[in-house]
Formats: sequence, structure tokens, C-alpha cells
Amino acid sequence: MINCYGLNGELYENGMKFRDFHEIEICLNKNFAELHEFPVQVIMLIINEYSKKIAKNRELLRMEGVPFLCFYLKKVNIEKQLNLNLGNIEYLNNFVEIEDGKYIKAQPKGIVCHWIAGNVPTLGIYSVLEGILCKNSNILRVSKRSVNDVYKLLKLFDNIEVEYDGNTYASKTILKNIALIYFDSEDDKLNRQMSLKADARIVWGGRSAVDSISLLPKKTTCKDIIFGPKYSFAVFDKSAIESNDFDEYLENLVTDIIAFNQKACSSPQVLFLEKSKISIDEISKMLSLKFEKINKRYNNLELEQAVAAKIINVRGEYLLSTDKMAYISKGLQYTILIDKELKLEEAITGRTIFIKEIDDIMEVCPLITKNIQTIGIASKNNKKTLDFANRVTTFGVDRVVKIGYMNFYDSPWDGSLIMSELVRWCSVNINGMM
Amino acid sequence: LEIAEIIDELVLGEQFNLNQKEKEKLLLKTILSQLDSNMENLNIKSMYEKLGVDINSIKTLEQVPYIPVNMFKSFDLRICTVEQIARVLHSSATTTGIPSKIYLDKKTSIRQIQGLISTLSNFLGSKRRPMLIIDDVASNKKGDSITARGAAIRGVSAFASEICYVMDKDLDELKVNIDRLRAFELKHKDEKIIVYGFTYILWSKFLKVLKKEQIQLNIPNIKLLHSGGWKKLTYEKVEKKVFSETAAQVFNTKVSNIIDFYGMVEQLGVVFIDCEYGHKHVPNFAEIIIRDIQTLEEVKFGGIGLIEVMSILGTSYPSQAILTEDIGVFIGIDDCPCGRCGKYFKFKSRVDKAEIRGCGDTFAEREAGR
Repeated sequence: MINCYGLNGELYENGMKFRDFHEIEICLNKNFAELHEFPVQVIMLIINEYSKKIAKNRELLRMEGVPFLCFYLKKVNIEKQLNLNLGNIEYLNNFVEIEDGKYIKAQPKGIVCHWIAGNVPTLGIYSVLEGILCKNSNILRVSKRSVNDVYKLLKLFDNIEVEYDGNTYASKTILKNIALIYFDSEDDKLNRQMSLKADARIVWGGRSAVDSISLLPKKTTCKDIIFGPKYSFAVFDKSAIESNDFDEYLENLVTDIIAFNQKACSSPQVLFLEKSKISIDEISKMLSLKFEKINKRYNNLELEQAVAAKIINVRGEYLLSTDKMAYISKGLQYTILIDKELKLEEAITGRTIFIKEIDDIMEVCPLITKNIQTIGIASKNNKKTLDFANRVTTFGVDRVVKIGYMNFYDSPWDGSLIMSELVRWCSVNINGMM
Repeated sequence: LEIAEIIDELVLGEQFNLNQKEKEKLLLKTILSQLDSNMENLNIKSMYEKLGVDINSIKTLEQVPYIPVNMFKSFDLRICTVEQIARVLHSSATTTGIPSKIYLDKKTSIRQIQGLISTLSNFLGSKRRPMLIIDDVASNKKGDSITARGAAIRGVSAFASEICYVMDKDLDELKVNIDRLRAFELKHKDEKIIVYGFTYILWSKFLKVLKKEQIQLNIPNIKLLHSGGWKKLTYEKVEKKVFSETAAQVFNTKVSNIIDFYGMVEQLGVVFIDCEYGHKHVPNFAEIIIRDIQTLEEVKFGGIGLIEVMSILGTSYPSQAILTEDIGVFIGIDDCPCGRCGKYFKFKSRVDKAEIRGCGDTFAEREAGR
């Protein structure tokens, strides 16, 4: 059974029940043309107003990732993202002449189906608004855990009006092109049905989710954008460690670790430190203090039993091993684990960071696979950073960002300019015809 | 009192009669004296040093450093010399595939048996009785190593005047020997009997089979003890109530005669038996601390958390404080209506190992052929 929390511009707190996607598809198809008539500037203005509404909502601002979402949705940023993805936002409105008698336009794909992982509550909003900016209709399937948060966020999308070129436009038109739903992820029948409705499938999730959705039947014209499981880590070079900003870098690292319970694909799991005049033990003690400080503000860990058990066991392993070291809080507030093995460790999450000392940050290169998404870096040497980025991205890394920015959603993401893939590039070539 | 005398008194004396304050004082004194010798193990020494443990400044049982139960799988946590090892206990290794290794010297082994007998006597009385073991005779075979199942059978068999193993192994499959069962029933049906079995074996190989075959026993004067965890039964969605009712029906006895006890191979000799009010009590020579899953501090009454089991029985391995992967509810202290003193609690479940998966759910393995 599908629980539908948003359809045809209305939001339903308790959801409506549907056996299949028939009614959802009819609504989306009916509303598609109206959105298609919106200039993209109008969509950006509405999203900008939406961002302002969220910024005024104290309850929502307490939700993890929402303050950054507000910043991300500002018009100036969205316009920048669209230009980066499409080259020229006018492609979304009109056929634009690119050479004599040749025009191109970015037409919507049609229905974009999103399968959203439950670890980051704001993920569904980013994903669906990217679909909307390209004037697509959207079926947004969220996890049971985040359905309430996404509902609350989408609720603010209603009742926004903007003026553009002397006309008034309402956000309702956009909302009419979003079907917010939940159904059991194990429900093969509904997963298949949803997949078959898609002109584009966006999948955010762990390995099993991504594997099973990828195998579902789909239209031959359907475009897949898969954001599967990824791993991230951090590196600090000597120049950063010995700089006056080192304290701040550590604080930023802690910010990156604690966000989204360290379960995002961009969350750092290991920190590689270049050898410097500060010992790894001293650094770990400094990092402990940073954790202590941040714990005063963010003291609700919300650890799952499984994660707590993993932390207790890995702590035990590092404490009992004679060649390893651990700096831990009294409770499970943070765990710093030190050893000498140059490898990436299985993500424990729950504010657990492995630290390893290396002679040169380039030593991490052999560890890079296509599974690595983000490397958070602290360095005072721009050239070295770019050389490092060039090496690691060659092997598979998608993003190298300064420490503290690892979880900030950006474009490109996971090696993909998403919005450029949510349109059909159509052309008109009438050179010499007239 | 000397430490050895305290241990003897706590292990061999009457159980559940010390109030919490008095008990804690004696346990703390004993445990602190044992922590020093734990440092003979290099791994434990490493752990105590990293944690900055100063034994002299430990003032409460809660402050005693604990060892996560899984560490007995990864490390040789042996305090005695190799020559002193009398037996190595192995857990069933159901989850990870790696069994725990518990090294027992003679002294520890004897104290564990004494502790178990002392605890069970409080519930069963000290008179030996005919005993029906729902297992095969090979499960308690003699040797240098022993499984958790064998160890538990060996412990309870101290209460037997006569033992009947009612199962036979047929191509690795345990099967009830109905003739042997009927003969035992005929011989002892009017006597007070003890029945013991591992919970899962009792359910899947005995109770379910007898029910299916419509075999009704008539042994009302039993005390059926079972232990060994509910993990597999939870998976089969069998609740404790259903289990007890089914067992009572099959034996034609009262549900109150079906007694669940909680214990683990890493803390052999320490068992927590349900009283008539459904509470698990802690014997004088042991303690439990139910720790909050976030703060790791002891929870308040009614609170839920990880069960830490403390014991003074072991000198050949660090048994003083072991943090389990079991979840319990702390009910109260010294005031159970059954009259037993000390802390009492309820076992709730194993730690839920299911985790929310997301886009960070990967291990960065190197891709072959990149």
C-alpha cells in the first residue's frame, strides 16, 4: 500500500492510501503542463521565498541540515548552480540560438522518481527541487524515518506568491508536481510500478537499496542517476597542523564528524595527519577537547543500539591492543582511535574517528577507489592541495573540500551535474531554410 | 576479613540475603584486590593504562573498568599461567562465527560450580532429585574444552540424584527418544523432578515435536529450568509466555514451574533466575549494572540499557566486570516482594544489530582491476 502525504498541491499529515500509482500518475500528468509554462526565474523566486520561510521557522531550523538548506536555496546560489549545470538558464525557457539557425532547449524529462535514503532528512528536498527546476513532475519516495521531516519541510512550500514580469505565480503549481509518498522498501510490486513510471530515476541509498532498485524494470528511455554508498575521509598536511589556524581546523573536523550522526556519504571516518612537530597524541588530546566543547551544544547522540555496540567493541579492541591507542569520552560522546596501519577503516559512525599518521598526504593515493566521495583537507599550500586533488580525483574521489565543508551539498555531487541530466537536450536546426 | 574468606562467604553462604549497601562494600573490596592481578595480562594492562585506571581511587562498582564481552573472541584474556589452565570454555559463536575463549583454572572452575549450586539451591532446595536433560549425553562429554551448553548441564547436574539424557544424536540432528522419556516418566512421575535444557533445543527439538506428535506427559512436580538465549526464538516470533505455556501444557504442570535463567559462558557460575514475580535476582557474589546506551552510566529504576555482569568468581580471567550485548530493564533494589535482597531486573532482548542504512553505508574496499 502506498501512503501518499502530498498530491495535487495538497499535503496530508496522515497520508492517503493508494493500491497503485494510477491516480498519482494522472495527477502529475495533469499538472505537468502548468509547471512547464513557468519561466525558470519564477521557480527560482519561489524557492528563494521558500528558503526565507524556512529560515523563520525555529522548529525546522533545529532539524539537522536545515540551516544549510536555507542558504543553498537562495536565488543567487540556485542561479549559480543552474548556470553551472546547463551553461545558460534560458535553455529551460526557450530555444536559444547557439549558432546560425541552430537552437537548443532543455526540455523536462517528464516524471522523475526519487528513492531517498533515510540518513539525511533534507536530502529529499534537494533532490526534488532539482527535478522541479528542470520543470519535471516528481514522485518522491522517502523513508519511514524521514517522512515526517520531509512533510514538515514541504508544508512551507504552500502559499507562496511571487511577481515576475507583471504576472503573479503561485507555489501551488510547483507543489502539484510533487507526490510525496512512502511504501515499504521491501514491496517489490510497488517498487516495480514506480520504476516503470519514471523518465528519470534518482536513487540515494546504501548498497542493497541501490542494487535492488537498479535491477527494477524501467522504460528504455529512462535516465538513471544513482547515488550509491560512498566513503569519505580527511587529511591534514604539515603546513596546516603547524599553522595558527590548526585549532579551527580541528573544530571544523568535529563539525563534519557530528553532522548527520556521521552517516552521510560525505562524513569523515578517518583522519590522516602528516607528520609535524605536534605529536599524534597531542593532536588527539586537542581533538578530544573540541569534542567536549561541541558536546555541550549537541549532547543528544541518538545512538542506535547497533552503533553503540560497534563503538563499545572497537573501543575495547583499541584499548586492549598493545600497539593501538584510544582517546574516549566517559559515555559514547566521542571516540578517537589511533593506529599505524595505512588503510581505510570500516565506518563505525556515532562520532568515531580513526587517526593515522603519514609522512606525506600523497601516501593516501593507493587507498583511493571509486567508492571514495569526499576528502576534507586542511592545508596552507594551494599548489599542494591542487596537486593532491588532481591525483586523488584521477583515482576516484569526487570532491576535495576544505575541512568543515564536507557535508555541504554542492554541485557537482558524486561526480554528477545532476540537473544537466534531468533534461532532454532538444534542438532545432533550420539553417538556410528561410 | 581476608579476601579469600569474603569470597567463600559470598559464594558458599546463603544467597540473596545481603542488602545492597552491605553487598557492594564486600564486592568492591574483593574486586579491587583482583584488578591488580588482571594487569598481569598485557592487554588488560594496556587497557587500564590507556584509561588511566587508578585502582586505589575506585570508590564504586560502577567505576570498575569493564571489558566488552566480544573481546573474549579477539584476545587471549588469560590471567593464569598456561600450566594452570584446567579447561577452556567456548561460546557458541552464533553471530560472528568466532567463539569466545574463557580460560579456567581449577580454582575458578570450582568457584563457578559452587556459585551456581549456591544460587540454584535457593530456588530448588538442596535435595538431589531425578533430572531429565533435554539434550544428548555427548553434550556433556569430558575433555579440555567445553561448550556453553555442556558447562550449563554440568552445573545443574550437581542437583541430580539420577540423570536421564532424553535426546539422541542422529546424523547431527537431535531427536527425542520417546521410549526413554516414557520410561523416565513412569519411574518418576510422582516425584519432584528437575528438567533442564537449552531454550532453543527445548522448543525446536522437544516441545514442538511432542506437540506435533500429540504426546502428553504427566510429570506435574517438575521445575523446568531453561537457558541459552532467545535470539533464535525471537526470530521465530516465539514469546516467553507462549514458550512457558506450551512447556507447562506438555508436562502437565503449572506455568510457574517453568523457570528461565539468564547467564553467559563468559560469566559461568553467575545465573539470574526468575523469581515468582518474574524478576531476575543477582546472587551475593555477583552484581549487575544496567548502563545507559549513550552515557554508559547506570540507569535509574525503570531504565533500559546494556547489562554489565560483575563477578568475583574468576581469578584465571578478568571476570570482574563484563559488558554484555544484552539489554535489560533495571527494576529495583532490596524490595522485591519475593523477599530476595539486592538488585533485580528483567532481561529484555539482545542488542538490536539492525542499523539504519544510508549513502554512507559502505566500506572503502579497493576495486579489483581498477
